Amino acid sequence: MTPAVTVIGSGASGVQFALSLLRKGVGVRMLDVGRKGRPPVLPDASLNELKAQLSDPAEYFLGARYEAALLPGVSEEYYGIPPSKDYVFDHPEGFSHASAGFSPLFSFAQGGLGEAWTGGCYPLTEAETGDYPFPHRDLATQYDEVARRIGVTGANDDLARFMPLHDHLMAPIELDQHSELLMQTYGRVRDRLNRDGAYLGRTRVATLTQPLGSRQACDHLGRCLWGCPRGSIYTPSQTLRECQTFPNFEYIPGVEVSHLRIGSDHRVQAVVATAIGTGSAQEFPVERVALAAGALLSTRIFLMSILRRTGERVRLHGLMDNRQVLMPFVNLKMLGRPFAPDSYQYHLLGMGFETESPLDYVHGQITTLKTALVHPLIQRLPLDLSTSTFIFRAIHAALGLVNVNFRDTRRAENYIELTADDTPRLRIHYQPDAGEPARIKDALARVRRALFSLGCVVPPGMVHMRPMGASVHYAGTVPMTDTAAPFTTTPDGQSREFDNLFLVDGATLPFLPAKNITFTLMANAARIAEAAF
Amino acid sequence: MAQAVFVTGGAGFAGRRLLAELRRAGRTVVALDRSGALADAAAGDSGLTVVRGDLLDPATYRDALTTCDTVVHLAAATGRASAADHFRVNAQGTEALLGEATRAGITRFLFVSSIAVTFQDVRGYHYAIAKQRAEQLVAGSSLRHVILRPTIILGPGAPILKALEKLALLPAIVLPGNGKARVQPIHVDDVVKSILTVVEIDLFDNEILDIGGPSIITMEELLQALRQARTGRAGRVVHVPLPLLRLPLGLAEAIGLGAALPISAGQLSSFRWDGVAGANRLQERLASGMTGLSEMVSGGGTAGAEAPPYVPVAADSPAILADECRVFTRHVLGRDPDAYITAKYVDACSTMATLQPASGFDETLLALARRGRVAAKVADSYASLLAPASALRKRLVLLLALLETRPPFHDAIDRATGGPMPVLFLRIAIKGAGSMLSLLVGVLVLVPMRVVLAVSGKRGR
Repeated sequence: MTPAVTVIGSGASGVQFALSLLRKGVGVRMLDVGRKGRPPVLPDASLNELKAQLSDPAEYFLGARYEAALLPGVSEEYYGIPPSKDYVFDHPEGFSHASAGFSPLFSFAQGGLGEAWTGGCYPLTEAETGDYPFPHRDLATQYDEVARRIGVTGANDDLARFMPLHDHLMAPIELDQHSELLMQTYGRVRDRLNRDGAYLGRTRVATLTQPLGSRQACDHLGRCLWGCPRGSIYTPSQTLRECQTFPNFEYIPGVEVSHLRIGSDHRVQAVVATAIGTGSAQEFPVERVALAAGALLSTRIFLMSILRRTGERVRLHGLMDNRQVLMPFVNLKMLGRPFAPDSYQYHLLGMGFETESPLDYVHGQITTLKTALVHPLIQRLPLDLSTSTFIFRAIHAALGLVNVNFRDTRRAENYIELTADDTPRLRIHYQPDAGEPARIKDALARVRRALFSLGCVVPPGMVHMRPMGASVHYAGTVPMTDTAAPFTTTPDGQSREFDNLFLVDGATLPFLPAKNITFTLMANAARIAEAAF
Repeated sequence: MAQAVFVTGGAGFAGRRLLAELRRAGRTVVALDRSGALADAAAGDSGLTVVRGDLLDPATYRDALTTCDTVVHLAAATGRASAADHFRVNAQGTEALLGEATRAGITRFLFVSSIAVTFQDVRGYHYAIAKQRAEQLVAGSSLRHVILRPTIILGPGAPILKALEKLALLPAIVLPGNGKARVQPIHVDDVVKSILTVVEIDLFDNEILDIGGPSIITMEELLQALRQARTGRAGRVVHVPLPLLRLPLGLAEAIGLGAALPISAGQLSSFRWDGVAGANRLQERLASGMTGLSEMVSGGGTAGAEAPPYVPVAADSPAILADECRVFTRHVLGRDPDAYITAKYVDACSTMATLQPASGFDETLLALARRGRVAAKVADSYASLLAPASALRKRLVLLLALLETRPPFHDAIDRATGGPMPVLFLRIAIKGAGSMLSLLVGVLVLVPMRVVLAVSGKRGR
């Protein structure tokens, strides 16, 4: 029997969309490539216990072929992807893309890119949703709902001026010594910072401080980067498991959707997919389809469907991604101090910078260095490794990193299309706007000033501008609009080309503020499920 | 039956050709073979006898000499051998051979020396000093003798050619000194021909005969000719002052790193002093038939190529890598690795392409670092700043990555270096000073090496 709704993809958008429908009694079939990782090893061990208890720790931390060891001259990023999360970015055989000015990451994993996120949950303000073709309260209601589902921790503090509060906010995670010191210092220099439009506060993260369902509260094992064995950090596959408890849900993994077969009535008749492994073609008849494969892969399916139907290679404009700049710092008061090896690894503090237009808001996430692999950092000191290691041990606890995020807008020069190959690939073209260098320079100067007021210095030459694509916040290819136009959707994500097609992921966002968008993606998907079904 | 010719150095660049030419001329030959490289050379040839032995151990060739009446003494320590080795092989070896030859009743003694002994100043050039000493010994012996002094010997496979090519094929020609020193390259076949001529026409008149090629040119012209031959174009020249190179190379040799260097301070003399052959009857006799310069420089290279591709050496054996792991772990953490770390390190270095040296300089860095904890610190200090993507740095970082996944090593990487601020800063300052000193030594030793030996241009990062 053909289900009422066919959802393509099991990422953050897809599972929240499906869950909302399932609760309303709508039948859902989810098609997914659905690559899976290994179950967590020794789930009760802390990071250092893991090192001691594994028979081949290097294999776990660096990979069987040492692929996660960050060697000089090989990578510009501070940290790579640990072997235990490699599967998140694995491609099916033959998948490739052609990109210029953009380094995209794709996920074919069960749960999608959200399986490897760091949990940032930042609701958009009313100003930021100005271009969104629906009232802010429709989204706000869903922020409440999603927070209830996934568990968001945070505080009503100085950052609330940039990120609205929502219901179901759990108490924040206990601060580590370094973060604690930064907050104390902020308390003393707060007026000065605020005059400069700089604010410090707790990050909002989907990491539990109290149990939720089968998930346990964070107990500081220090294994965040390798995958929390407690399930404390939310991942979409957790919601997928919840969906699977519904009788009206059917999950079909192991299929890669190629395109949608469109009938003469401009309706999607079937989803055309190939089975992973055998490569055999499969068709799934549909009533209504929701694309939730992630902005880039959903766009690919959308473009392929048009190509198959009309022979036309459409170019979609307006791709967005957050520029990220990494700024390491040294907190002088923490020099020579020890650090607690068993602690939460990700960002506990955030920095917000007021701007003339609220849309230009600059957001920073502060991660203090505790337990982590440090060879990627030690090698950056321009000294022999014996001396570097010695010095690094003195500054280890004093190190931190601000990940500075910048907004992006839909611009015509950034586009996504299919190549003219026999098996068309995605071609992405991106170039930053002319104002970016000045915007970044100005913002980084403000971050530096704020850090300095907090007793921290930024070592010269260590600031790293990540390539576009690295933030993995892709959006804007088929935007939601009030007025009908080609290759847009209605405010409820309904395609203006194909009546029974909905886009429920990042592809439809009309504006990308300097915030992790995952929370908004989930809320928006849930909103569409409520409004249109 | 004519008495045999006793040849030393028969396995060398000129020696192998000499053996063949002597045999072609119908001479019976006895070749002294130290390393076993000539083991198969005598197969199927009853006129060539190979004797395993050592110049410095006359007992090993005493009997062989009794069948001979002529000695051609080609064997020599060359290049970057230590001062002691130069003296031992070139001077003491010649002395031992002279003594044994005298006892055996040898009537004719040909000694192949070098034009380098004529350099105005040979201070620090141990090879030339030892050759000078050897010449004195030959001249002072009771044997009827001749001393040949060839100039730069070129030809396919000439050891010097590789080094010169490296200088000539960089984006710009790198030339130690002002490049005005005159040279007179001679083809190896002409050197062999001159030896044969001396033997054939019995030119043993106790004299010294220079022997050089048909044209006298400057060092700069020679490098340009090489570049022209390989790339079809002349190139820009960058002059590097000699003192800038000589001091650090000398310093490196003084602290015992000489064997790890690809060039010696002394060898730089060739870029400073003229090395041309004086007129003599042998030179006159051979001059008309000599191989020209263009042919000398055309052989051996790959025409048209920008630079000869770097051919990596075979991967290191597990035993060498295990040793390397031990030296490097001591360098980084001051202790020995365990069996697990060693096995992982050996595995990674045997299987990961990125950990293999990508240039001659990469190899040199590794070779230097392997020599011990101090050498590792010197090489690492240099590499951390000036060769961050070298195989050495990659291997060290990989080792660090392995160590931090494994108790008890990770503790030594994670544990805070603490204490009261002044003490902490003092400790860091002391450590830093040590590192700076290593860096200084590293720069002094390795910068010239990298420049002079050119380290295959673009790839020698």
